[in-house]
Amino acid sequence: MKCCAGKFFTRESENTGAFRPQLTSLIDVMTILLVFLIKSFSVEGNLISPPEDLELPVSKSDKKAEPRLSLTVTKSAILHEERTLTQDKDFAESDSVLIPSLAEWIQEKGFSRDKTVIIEADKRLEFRILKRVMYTLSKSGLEDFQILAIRKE
Amino acid sequence: MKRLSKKTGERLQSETLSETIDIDVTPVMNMFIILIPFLVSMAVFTHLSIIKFSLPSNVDSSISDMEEKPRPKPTIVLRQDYTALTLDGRMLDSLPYEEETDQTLSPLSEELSNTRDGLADSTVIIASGERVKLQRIIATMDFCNSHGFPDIGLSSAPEENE
Repeated sequence: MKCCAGKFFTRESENTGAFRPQLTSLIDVMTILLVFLIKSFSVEGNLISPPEDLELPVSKSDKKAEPRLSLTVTKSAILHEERTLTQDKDFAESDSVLIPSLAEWIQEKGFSRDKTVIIEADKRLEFRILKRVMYTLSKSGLEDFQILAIRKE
Repeated sequence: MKRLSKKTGERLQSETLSETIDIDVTPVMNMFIILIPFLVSMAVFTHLSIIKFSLPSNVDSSISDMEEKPRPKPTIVLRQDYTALTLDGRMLDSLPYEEETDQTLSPLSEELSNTRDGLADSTVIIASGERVKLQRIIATMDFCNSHGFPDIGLSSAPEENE
C-alpha cells in the first residue's frame, strides 16, 4: 500500500505540476539567431538612409558612407531630403546640360566650395542624367562627388 | 528475481540521472526574449559604401592655362556595345558589351595593370556614353580601384552614333 500510495502521489505531481514543453529545439534556434544578430549588430546603424524606392548600385568599395550633402537622383526627379528640387521632365529632353532649378537651389543655399556631395542614384539611371547633375554641381563650385552604393560582401 | 531487481535498479538509476540533468531554461529564454528584439532593432542588414570620383582635371577650362602638355591618362571608354581601354588617344584593348549578360572586365586586366606600371599618376578617366547605366559605371570604377587607380575622373565619352 505504501508503495502504491507513493506511486500515486508521484503520478499526481507529474500530471498537475507541470506541463513542460520541450525547449531544446527552441533554444537551438534562439542561439543561432543570436549569433547572426550579434554579427550584424551595429552601434551606429546606417547614418544614411536612402529612399526605399531607389535601387542603389552594388559596389566592392569598402569606404564607409558618412552624412554629407546628399542629392537623390531618381528616374523622374532630383530630390534633397524628400524635397523635390526638379522634375525629370523639366530638363531631361532639354539641349542645355545645366539644370537651372538645381543651380538656383545651390546658389540659394550658398554651400562652400569644398563641400562633398553624395549622389544617391538608381542603378538603372542613365549617364546623361548623372552628367547634367555633375555639370550643374561643378558650375556651382561643388566638385567632389561620391556615389552611394550597397557594399558587396 | 535477483536479475529482475537488478534491472529495476538500473532503471531507477537512469531515471535519477535524467532528473539531475534537467536544467531550468526559463531565465535563458527570458534573456533571449529581451536580447533578440534589441539586436534586431540595431542590426544593419545592408552595408552602404561610397565611391569617390571627380570631374577629370584635364578636361576643364584650366587646361588652357597650363604651360606643360598634360600627362596622358588611361581612359576606359564605355559605350553601349563595347568597352575600350585607351591611352593618349590610342586604343590598347577592347571587349564587346552585352547589357543582358553580367559582363566581367577581366580581359582588360592585364593591359590596365601594364599601363599602371608605366605611369606615375594614379588617375584613370572613365568616359561614358549617354545611355550607359550607372551600375556599369560603378562596376568599372571598382575594376579601376582594384588595379591601383584610386583617383577616378568621370567624364562624357566623345560623340558617337550610339
